[in-house]
Amino acid sequence: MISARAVLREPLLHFLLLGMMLYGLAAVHARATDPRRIEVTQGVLASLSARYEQQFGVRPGKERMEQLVNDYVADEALYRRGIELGLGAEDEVVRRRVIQKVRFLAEGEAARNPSDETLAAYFRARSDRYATPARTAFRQLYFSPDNGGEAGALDRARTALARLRRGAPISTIADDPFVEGRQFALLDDGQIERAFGLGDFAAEIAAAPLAKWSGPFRSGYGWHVVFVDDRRPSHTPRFEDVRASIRADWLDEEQAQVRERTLAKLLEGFDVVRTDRSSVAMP
Amino acid sequence: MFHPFPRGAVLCATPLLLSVLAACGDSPAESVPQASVAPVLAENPDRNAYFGELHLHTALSFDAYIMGARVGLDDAYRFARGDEINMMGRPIRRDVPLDFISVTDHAEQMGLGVAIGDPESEFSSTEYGQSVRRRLADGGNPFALMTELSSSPARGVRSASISAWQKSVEAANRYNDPGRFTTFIGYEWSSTPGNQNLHRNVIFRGDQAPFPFSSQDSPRPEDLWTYLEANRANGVESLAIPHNANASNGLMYDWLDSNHRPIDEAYAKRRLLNEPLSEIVQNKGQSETHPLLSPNDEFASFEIFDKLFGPEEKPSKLPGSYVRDAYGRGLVLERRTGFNPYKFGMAGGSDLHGGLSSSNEQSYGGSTTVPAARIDREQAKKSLGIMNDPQRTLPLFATGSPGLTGVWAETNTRQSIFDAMRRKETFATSGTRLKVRFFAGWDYDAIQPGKPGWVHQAYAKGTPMGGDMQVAGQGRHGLRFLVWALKDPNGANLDRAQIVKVWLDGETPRERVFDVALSGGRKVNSATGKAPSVGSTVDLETATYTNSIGAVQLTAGWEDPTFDPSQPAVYYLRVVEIPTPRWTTILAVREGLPIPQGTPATLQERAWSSPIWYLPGRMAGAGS
Repeated sequence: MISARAVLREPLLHFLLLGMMLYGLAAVHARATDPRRIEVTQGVLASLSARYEQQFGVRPGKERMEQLVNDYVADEALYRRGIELGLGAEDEVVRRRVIQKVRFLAEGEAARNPSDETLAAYFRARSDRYATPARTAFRQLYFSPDNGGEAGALDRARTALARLRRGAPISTIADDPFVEGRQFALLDDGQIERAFGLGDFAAEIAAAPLAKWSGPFRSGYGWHVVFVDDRRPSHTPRFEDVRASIRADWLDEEQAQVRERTLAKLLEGFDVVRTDRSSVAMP
Repeated sequence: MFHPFPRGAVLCATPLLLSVLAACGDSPAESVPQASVAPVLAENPDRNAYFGELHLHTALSFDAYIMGARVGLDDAYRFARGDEINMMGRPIRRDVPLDFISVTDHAEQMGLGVAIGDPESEFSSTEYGQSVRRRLADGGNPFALMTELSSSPARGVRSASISAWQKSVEAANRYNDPGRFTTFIGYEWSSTPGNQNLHRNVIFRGDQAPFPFSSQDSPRPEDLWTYLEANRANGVESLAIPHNANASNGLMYDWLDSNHRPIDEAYAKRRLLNEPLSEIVQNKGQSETHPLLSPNDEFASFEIFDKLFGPEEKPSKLPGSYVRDAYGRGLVLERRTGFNPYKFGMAGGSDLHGGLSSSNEQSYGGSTTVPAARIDREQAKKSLGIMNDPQRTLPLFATGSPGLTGVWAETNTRQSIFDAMRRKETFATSGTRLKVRFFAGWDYDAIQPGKPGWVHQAYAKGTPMGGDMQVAGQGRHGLRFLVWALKDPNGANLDRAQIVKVWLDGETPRERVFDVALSGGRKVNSATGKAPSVGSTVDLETATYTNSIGAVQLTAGWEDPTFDPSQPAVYYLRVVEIPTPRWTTILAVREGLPIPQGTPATLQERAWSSPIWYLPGRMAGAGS
């Protein structure tokens, strides 16, 4: 005589109950209809074909398709047998996969459609991150160390600066040809560094007074006297203009927070016992 | 002088610009800074110099992964374009951003290292993958594993590579930013028969590329060309760039094809079509020339790495392994067959395996995977040869800091830069951003390089680097070369500009180096044919130098005093900087360790232009 309790502990019964439960979800997965029935539906064919195409760039032919279906049937049988035997519980790869899936589930709970108010507040708190850099438009006259050495070039630059400040026209100044010409329109620091080299030059241009000749400044090529024509300060864009990138950043951050929150909440439900530290007094 | 294309001028005329510069055409009331964005897609008909990397490995390269590289595609691109990234827990940024890049991971087992290392990867879920993981965990030799995987038909090996390639293509397309930062889809075909290097990097022009043809598909370059040609027929354009000819044992520029048959017209045509450039300088030495091949070239002994790859590091045969020799062979083959297979231009790269492309001496510390800024004292001792690395017989201090490719292109886009590579309007540098221009023409008497407007006239009346000069006809004057070189604004002054000439004397190639511009008013001694040394400002105690010698810019208009209109000849420009401390010296000073004795303490960084070919008796437009 078999007791009711023993029946309830019977793994086969559990399996059958599970099978019955899954039966109701037949539409969800062919596998669930009957553990002993492997059904090859149109949906299965479509997914096999799509996966093949993704890997090899072409649709499988008729023969290849037959082979894919045979593989699918064999894989299903093996998989179900493995589940029956309880394989996978101790397998590191399976464990990682399950963990990954649970994490995905958690991330799915993150809000997908933040309101404009939420995004605007996020933007206000970090508007620096979205600002365009300051830019300067300038003219420059170049004095090369190839012409009279370092001291000679500096000397010529100083003389030219003094004359320009007294109102001498540019055409009367004997400067040296500069590879990128005399005129530079609205460059940011990075662009100035590309054209003139690293060092103090970009900062000196940024600090030079507007509509006046100043210098001499040393670039990676030699000495320059500079006239700043125009300057645009660093500019924070309007919320509407950068809404898309704010939304992407917000979603990234939200997702990370949800991940952390979910994990913390999950851990609350567990007793974590650190027997490894049991002999050491915890601070 | 007004810049031909002022940077601030916003060009809204063409549909191309309209589509990219969304700000164009907005109402004037729009916020002002949007409208002031520099016209990054404005085309300069006189062409700009862009500097880039055409040879970089990330963790997707199997050997890189084994050597400890973990930097992936995103950080590789972000670092190259100048973003700050996190490297080993601390931020790091490239000194100067690159203008363009191609990430060229090895096709062979691409992505397998990452797939094996990741317990969640599809590969790790296969029986074979798990066996591989177990063996590695039990201390199995990863390099032996690499060989095993190369011949394994196991399921999962190919699909891991397919997935890695998809990621590589996707990342290249995602980071391409026309006008600012150009990326090319690329990979490395790594054929090394008997440790003789035949490697090529394949660079794609557009946004699509089929699965790579690898050296496992075939180790013969001719078969790689078949792949390129088949793609081309399908509208997918690409080219292959050989590198490390110096380690090819003479095979890279051989007289024979892969079937050991003399090179014929068909081979020459295919090679020209598929391989317009050679990478002549990188981490494992330069392939311009060797002191034993060019005994009269006092600058030939530069970053020599004349060994084969592989654990034994046997000597690599010199003839056929260097481009100067190849240019001469090309002229001989042209005389014999009517076609020259070795009419290629110059490129440079890093070949670093750590995902972070660097090019200056400060950034390199003897490791292919870790930048100098993250090298600890133990690694520094290995790099400087103080501590032996049992893995290697050749010391790490024999490797060099990486090189760069310079291109002259209208704008920083895939199309413009790729087309420049195709027409060979490129130059290689040992890592410096030294710019060089080189033209030849029959009617150049009135043009003075460096004067405002000279470039425009030079293009109008002659041929830039990479081109052919046909026999005289229209011009009243002799063949004249225009030379211009400008220092790297963050680097050293220039010592001299030289024109290297290779010509055919009967069936024998000859070579000669002419000093065409010397800094500091030096003159060539007419008796010896040599110029005095520029000297040195290097202080080995502090690993520093000053720009108190040398020139910012060098220019020359030059006519070949040995010109013979009946002799075919190849001319290229080499511009040499004043001496600066080599990376070994910089690292030794930083760590307070001795400077290695087995390698020079200083070097003279340099740039090499693609050649200009003089072809007597050829009609304009004939040949290739």
